[in-house]
Amino acid sequence: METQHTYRTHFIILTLLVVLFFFINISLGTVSIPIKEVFFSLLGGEAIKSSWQFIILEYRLPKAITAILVGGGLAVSGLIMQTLFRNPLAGPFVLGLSSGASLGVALLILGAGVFGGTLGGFLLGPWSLVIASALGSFLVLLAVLAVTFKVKDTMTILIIGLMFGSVTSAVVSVLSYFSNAEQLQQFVFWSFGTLGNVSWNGILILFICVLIGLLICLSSIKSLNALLLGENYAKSMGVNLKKATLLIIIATSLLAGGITAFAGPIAFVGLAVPHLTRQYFTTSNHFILLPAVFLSGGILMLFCDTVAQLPFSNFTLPINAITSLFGAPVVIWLLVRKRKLLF
Amino acid sequence: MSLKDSHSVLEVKDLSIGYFLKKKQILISKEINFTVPKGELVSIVGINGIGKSTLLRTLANMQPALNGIVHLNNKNISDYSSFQLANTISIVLTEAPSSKNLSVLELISLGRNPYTNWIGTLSENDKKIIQNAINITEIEDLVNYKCMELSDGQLQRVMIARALAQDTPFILLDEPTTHLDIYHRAYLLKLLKKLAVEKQKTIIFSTQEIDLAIQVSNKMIVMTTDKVHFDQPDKLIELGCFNTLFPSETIQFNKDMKRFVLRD
Repeated sequence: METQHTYRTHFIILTLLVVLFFFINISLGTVSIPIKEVFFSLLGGEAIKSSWQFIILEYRLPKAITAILVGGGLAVSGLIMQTLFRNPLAGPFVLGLSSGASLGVALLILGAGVFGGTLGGFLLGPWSLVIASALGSFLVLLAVLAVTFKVKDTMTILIIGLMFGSVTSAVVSVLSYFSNAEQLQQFVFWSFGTLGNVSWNGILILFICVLIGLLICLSSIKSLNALLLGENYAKSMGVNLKKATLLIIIATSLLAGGITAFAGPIAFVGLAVPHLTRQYFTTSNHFILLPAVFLSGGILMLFCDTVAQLPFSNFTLPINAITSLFGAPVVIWLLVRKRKLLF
Repeated sequence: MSLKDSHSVLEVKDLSIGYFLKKKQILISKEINFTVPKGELVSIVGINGIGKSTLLRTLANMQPALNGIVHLNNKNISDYSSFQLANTISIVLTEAPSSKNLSVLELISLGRNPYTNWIGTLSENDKKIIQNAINITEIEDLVNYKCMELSDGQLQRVMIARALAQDTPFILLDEPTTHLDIYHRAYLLKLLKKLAVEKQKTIIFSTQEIDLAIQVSNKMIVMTTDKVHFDQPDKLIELGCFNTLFPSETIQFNKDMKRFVLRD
């Protein structure tokens, strides 16, 4: 696709912003650590206090990396969903992927009481959450895929995704009603979303999920661009629609499913970031938009996480609340200013 | 020998068109026969719902024929691979592009999609073809506009430029003159004529503009409930085909004026 600009300066600025927010994110937190010591720890030196070094290397650094992967991955999955469904309001949530993840986790945490004490205790290990949530998204994905092969109309798939979401939240409500306060609290905390609980091992798995998802997106750039004209035109230009749709949905589920498994359901990033990015990258070419949206998502997530940990205080706010507080007004502002969300 | 060097010709024999609804066959039109040689401009006319779009969709292999044969360069259209087809037929549909945010240049360059590498890099040759498409449709001033900023007439020219950028011997257009005023309708049909003559494109389009189509087309496909006629406009007038198009109590075709007139 021929584009008017290469956006070189835009990309340089975005990359610098990622680096800047990355260091701000690591420098600030509940425990105040001098900036000099932060850099010292990052570069492999020994900080004055070993606890500082531990906080930086084992907590803040993995959290900042998770923030980039989560923000970038969700934003990219939002972008490709909007193109696939040719709907500016599409996002990873719309397909019901995160509802599926919620259902998996709800069944695990809230259903533990139903399965009895011993089994319940065994089920609640840290990994079981990830597996349950990934399984939940994957099952919803399979259901969506089955529908995709039967129903051609993308609007219908979108609505079916919303219905999946309704059904899962209903099941979650029923489960909450029958579970005790402790279990309910655990589920609610998961649904707040968190970036801080991911270990280095977890990051590796998350990184692999996001990397494969992004590589599939990269291989789909041509089909994504052709789909901007609509399915009929894409087909007339030699795009294999079924294959392209399948690849894009697999990429989304890898990105959104993997991320939700580790970080919980995080709202609005997938929806808002592609629209924000289009404000300063005035192109529709996915070759440019994909990296731009990934970087922007990373920046936004680093920013939200920095705000969420309320620097210099002992409180940490749920990340999902921050992204919603930030994301919803942005979408409203775009709607009011532009009258219409375009993609 | 590549497809483009061969004598491009579209041959339709005993074609029945329609679609399947709950495994039941819905026949829309049958016994369609025509042959279009290279570089001819052919229009399809008929009352609303007679099957003009269905015929075009069948010719573009966007939906299967119920019966009969569609041959492109002596090869059945259903035997074409999706790449070969993208290489042979380009389309201009009534639907607007889904993305209103596409710039005109981006939209036209999408026409090169079948030919570019896996990531869509445009070669110098691709850029030259895109520029030619822009020049011949006279939209040089529009290249930096977004789709949402274009008028209907401008958008139609841009969509034709995209089809030209796809560089296919056949171009099919579904109702390209809808929503346009008389000047832009005439301009557009003259543009199609120019493409057929100068670029040797084989162009088939459906239209409601029977009067203008008679003036500009080499041949016409006239679809009525009883029969599908195919011939040169003058011969179709001689045969009185146009009088069978619509219920005659309201309008009638005047042979001398070559157009429809109101009945008192």
